[in-house]
Amino acid sequence: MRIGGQKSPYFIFILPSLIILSAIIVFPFVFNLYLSFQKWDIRFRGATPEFIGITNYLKAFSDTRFFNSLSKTLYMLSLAVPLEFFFGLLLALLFYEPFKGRRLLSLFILFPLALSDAVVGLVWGLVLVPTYGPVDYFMRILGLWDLLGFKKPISLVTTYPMEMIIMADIWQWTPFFYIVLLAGLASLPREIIEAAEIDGAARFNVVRYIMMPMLKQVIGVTLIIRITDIFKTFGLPYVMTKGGPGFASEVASLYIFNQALQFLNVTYAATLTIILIAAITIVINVFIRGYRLKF
Amino acid sequence: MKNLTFSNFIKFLVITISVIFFLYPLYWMATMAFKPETDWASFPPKLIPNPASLDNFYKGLFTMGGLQGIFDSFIIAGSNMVLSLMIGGLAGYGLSRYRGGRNIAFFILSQRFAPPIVFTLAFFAMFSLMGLLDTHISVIIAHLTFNIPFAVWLMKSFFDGIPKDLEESAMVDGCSPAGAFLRVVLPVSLPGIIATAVMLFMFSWNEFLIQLFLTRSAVKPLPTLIPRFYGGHDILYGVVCAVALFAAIPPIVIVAIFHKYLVRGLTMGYVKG
Repeated sequence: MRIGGQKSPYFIFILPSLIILSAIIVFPFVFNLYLSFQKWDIRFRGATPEFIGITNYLKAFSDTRFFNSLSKTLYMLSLAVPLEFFFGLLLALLFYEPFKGRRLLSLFILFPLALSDAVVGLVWGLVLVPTYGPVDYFMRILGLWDLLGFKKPISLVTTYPMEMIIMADIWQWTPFFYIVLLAGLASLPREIIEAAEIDGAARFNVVRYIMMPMLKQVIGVTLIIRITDIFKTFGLPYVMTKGGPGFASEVASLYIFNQALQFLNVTYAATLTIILIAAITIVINVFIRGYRLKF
Repeated sequence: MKNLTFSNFIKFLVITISVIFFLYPLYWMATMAFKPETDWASFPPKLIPNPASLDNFYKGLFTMGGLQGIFDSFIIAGSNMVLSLMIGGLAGYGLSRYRGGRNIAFFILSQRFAPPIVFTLAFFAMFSLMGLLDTHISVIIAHLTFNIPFAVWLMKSFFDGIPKDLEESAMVDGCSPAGAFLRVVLPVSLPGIIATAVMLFMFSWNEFLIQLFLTRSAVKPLPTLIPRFYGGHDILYGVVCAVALFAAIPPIVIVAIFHKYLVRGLTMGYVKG
């Protein structure tokens, strides 16, 4: 990258973005890094930051509530992303072949993608309301409560908070895998797939040995987008459970939010964001290397 | 489906169940918005609001700040859209035409991987020092963190699809690079610009964490209204749903009209769709 003495007239087009992004992305990051070594009680007007070395980091590494929140995030990562990928792929394969009403039904599936996290949280909070919500009702009339071994209906959100948040996330993001993988499938040369089918290859084998390898890079990009998104999860638990009961669904971003706004420990929250970024960087690099993802 | 074989039946079943799964929760919220208070907790749940009323919308708009929320959300998402599109669109063009720009492009993309809580926290501290908390401008600036990179990459993917000969011949005719961009490239890329614009609008409109962090009482964007009235005791179910419906309708309309560009948008131009 040669910036000084650059001959290209196009550099001038890029410059405004670079300046603004440096100001609003690089500077906040550096500011957070600076804050993480400070003590600053913002409850008192005129209080100034005071250097305390790595005290905040030492505190973080013995903070069980922080590790709890990281484990919730990782739990979500391990369940939500594979399930969303699997269901999205299944739907993409089903919608790959034309049938009547495909366009309209396909559009319906995309609606959850359009919604704000706050709306998705509300929607799932509503359908899961005990007694008066539709999920409880359908489980009653279909006898699912008995089947699953519950003596009487329970509140799903309070008993299985993480699982219900994951369910809402699956609802919101399966359409993402669906639509991107469908576009990927549509871009494959049809003759190759048809040739394999004519040769008598089983459906599963066509998917596994022909479609998947050809879509490897597209799949990699969808996965990395969703993996990083999981670390950003905030809205669903904030609206559905507020992180509760107890800390049972307090994911990383929500814990940092609470440290900052509830306890007003801004510098400690900044420390946690630095650790979170480090964790994400590791996960992304492991993924990109392991998967041999190319951009 | 030509004939009803067993595998076709399974396919039909899976598609039906999926569509119900993705549509029903949204439908439930929408109908709740039309139900009078006595039906918010009816047993069995009512599939169709009967009687239906518009009370919830009235209350949502005028007593719960829905009207102000709509206004604030439009100001924020609209201003952010214009800024991101102008700043990011230019860079997208530059990166599309300038070969040495790969590293810069990836620097701009890297933001996509950082959790917004990082920027938000710093913005919160900075804006509180500057006395800018709870203003439109603070949220508009903070939303640039994700929308400029988005505009850069998406517009780059659209400009990549426009042959370079186009502006080269304009430059041979005496246009400057800026002139060629304005007079030749922009008109041709209008569909891409519109698609990018509506998606920028949608992302800013829907964003939740930053708006919750940076606003309080003077500015109340729609998504931040939802947790205010949902989560305590005595939830006004119908009213919250009416407000949520105001938040949900613009992006749903956008997706319905621009679904052709959705794949490209969601993958920042990586998959063309």
